[in-house]
Amino acid sequence: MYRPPPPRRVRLALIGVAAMFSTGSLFPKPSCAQPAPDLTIQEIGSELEALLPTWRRLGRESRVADSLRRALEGEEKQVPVDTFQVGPFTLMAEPRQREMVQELFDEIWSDLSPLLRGSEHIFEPWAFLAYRSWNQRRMYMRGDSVLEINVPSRFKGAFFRREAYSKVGQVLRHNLPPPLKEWIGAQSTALATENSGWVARELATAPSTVARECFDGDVAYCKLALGLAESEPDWNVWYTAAERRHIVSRIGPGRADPRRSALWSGCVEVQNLEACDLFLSTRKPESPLRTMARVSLLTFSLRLRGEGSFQRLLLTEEKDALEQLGELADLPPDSLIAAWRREVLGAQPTAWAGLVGAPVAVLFWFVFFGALAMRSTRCRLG
Amino acid sequence: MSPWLNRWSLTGLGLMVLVALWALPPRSSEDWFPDRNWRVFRYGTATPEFEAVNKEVRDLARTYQRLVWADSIRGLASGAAQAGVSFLAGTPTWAPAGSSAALTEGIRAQLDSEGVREPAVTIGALIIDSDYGRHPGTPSGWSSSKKFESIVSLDDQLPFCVRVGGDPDQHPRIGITVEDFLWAPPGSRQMSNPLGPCLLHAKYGSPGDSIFLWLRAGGYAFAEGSFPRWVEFRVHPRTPVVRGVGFRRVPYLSVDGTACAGGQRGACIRILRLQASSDDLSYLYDLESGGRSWTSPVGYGSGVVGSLRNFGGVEARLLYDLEEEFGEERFGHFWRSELSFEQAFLAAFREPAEQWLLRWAQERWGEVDVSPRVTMEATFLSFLTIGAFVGLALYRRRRTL
Repeated sequence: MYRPPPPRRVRLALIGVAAMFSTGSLFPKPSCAQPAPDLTIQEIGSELEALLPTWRRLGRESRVADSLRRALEGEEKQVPVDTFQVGPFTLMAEPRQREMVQELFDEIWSDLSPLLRGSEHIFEPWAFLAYRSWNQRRMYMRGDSVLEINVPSRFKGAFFRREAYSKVGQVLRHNLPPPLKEWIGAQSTALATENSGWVARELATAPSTVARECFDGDVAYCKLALGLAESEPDWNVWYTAAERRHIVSRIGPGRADPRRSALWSGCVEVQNLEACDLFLSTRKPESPLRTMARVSLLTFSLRLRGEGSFQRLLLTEEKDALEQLGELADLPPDSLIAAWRREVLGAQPTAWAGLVGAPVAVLFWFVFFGALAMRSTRCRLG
Repeated sequence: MSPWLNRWSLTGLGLMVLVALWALPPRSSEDWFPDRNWRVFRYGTATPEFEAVNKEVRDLARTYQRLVWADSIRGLASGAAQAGVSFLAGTPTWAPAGSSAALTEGIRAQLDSEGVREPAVTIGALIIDSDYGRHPGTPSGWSSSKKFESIVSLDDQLPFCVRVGGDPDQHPRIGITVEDFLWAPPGSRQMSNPLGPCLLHAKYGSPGDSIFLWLRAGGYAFAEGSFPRWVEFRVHPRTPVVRGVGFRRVPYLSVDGTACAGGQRGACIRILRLQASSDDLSYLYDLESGGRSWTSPVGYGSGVVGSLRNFGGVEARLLYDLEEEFGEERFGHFWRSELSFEQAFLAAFREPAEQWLLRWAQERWGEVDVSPRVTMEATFLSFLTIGAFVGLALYRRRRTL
């Protein structure tokens, strides 16, 4: 069907738009700044001294304004909070979430109470502030002894549960004897929870021959992989040359430090082993099985001992981590490690990732678009 | 087409034109949101008045301290000249034993490797207390950063170029150490680069006044020399890094760097005239110290290699590549020329500077595609898929007719 050309004013407007783009006349280029005249030390010194009183006064005022702003924000964002007790835990939650938090901590307490019998007092100084929200609102409740459990509502309840376990684990970790605490590491962990499935994954996939030997049943290698052997932490003991290169490659060159970037390139691109070792020497050696596996071994020992095991751990004499674990479980260290390994491998997951979902999705979209292409449409071409 | 579809298509097109009018041509984020500081995202705890005065005080304090450094170095250079010492090397008292000797050895090795028996001006590398020369009214530690600076004097009687690194006693991880000056990949034949841009001063003497102005305004970033690596930087134009990622862009080239490698001379000119893109303004601000130049003749050289990232830091070797291509004699003419940068370049190398830069960039990255077009492979596969479905539709239609 014939369509008349657009009216004259539309054509003029289009030409105007084209002209504007072609010349860039509406967007002037930035001009280059002219250098200012040179100044002497004395001139700059006097200018600086003249400014310093104002700078100090404004700094003081700025700090006061900042603290006022923070106080105001805190007041605005504050919500009413209920404080209540579940077992040894002091909990704080919004009234509408109280029931949910109470149920969760009831569950945690029924799970942990046998192990923690006699050591409930360790929770006395702590309060758990638990809430879920859709927005970024934070409950302003600060202090060294307030542990915040805040998981946004868009995440599943399991994350909230895990976070709560993790905070309880933080208190337990805080009370561990120093050698064990140092061995576990600084990360916040869900101490005393079951995570053998994840540890089995870690054991099977850690990029280390030592971990693989442990997987195959050599207890001495398990001790090595867990950082429980007597040797000093050392990348060379835990990883072969190829594994160290793999670790460097995975860590990445970073951006800030050209030396580090050069070492990375020497290790990964030029395959210079010395570069790999120099790169790793700037980092604290990390054993193949880290926090998660270590927590799992400690939890295993606690559960083997049964009722009141944590209190027993608190009362034992300070020892080397391995000995302490053996004494806790009332087993020779090697037998304990062997039993833990059996438990972990027994919990191996039987899922295969990625073999079903992707082909099904591809097939679905092919069939879907194919079906659309095969059916009639109201908007015919021509 | 049905009138319904027609109306919606026109509305959609109209909206697109409106968006284009609003958004084109592309501008930097600062133009869209002028009050927003994109580079440093943090919660503002200070009032705007304090921020403004604080910035001014910091700039003045830094300038004051550099001038004190320059004054002290002038004294050291004068002493060295009288004693017949050709270069300075020094470390603070808390540096590990043997640091100063190692630095001396490193400088001598670099000069030997370049065939410089006697430097044309006094040169050197110093690690100094980063609090040294601080104005007493300003806080300690303001100067601590992982940056090299070059203090330059063009004084006819006492020309010098000394590369300085500040090492704060209290925070040993922040400042410059002897290792930073002397680092070279172990097991390789690469030399360390303690002198940085001062190597060119050692070889060719003081630059001409106009060339120095260009260097001081940011050109020193092209004279820093490469950070030693096992392999020299080489990217074949057809390697997957260049061809496969980010619409066939080289991810680490800036907008101007990409445009220059893509054949746009205007971008090459902007890079050489140091009219950097907005990403680099903070760096130029550093160089000029808040728009003030210091008592002549002091140059505040480039910082960490790659600070001016039009070419991802590879441009730190730019002047050395120029020297390698045209030879020392012609480079010396350029370096000492009294003409402006562009005229000096043309006179010495008989080629416009931007044309050479374009060639330099394309030798390294090939002809980078600057258009937003889709790759041939993606276009082909898209048409193939659409064709297959249209074919199915036509087949179905023919069967039903």
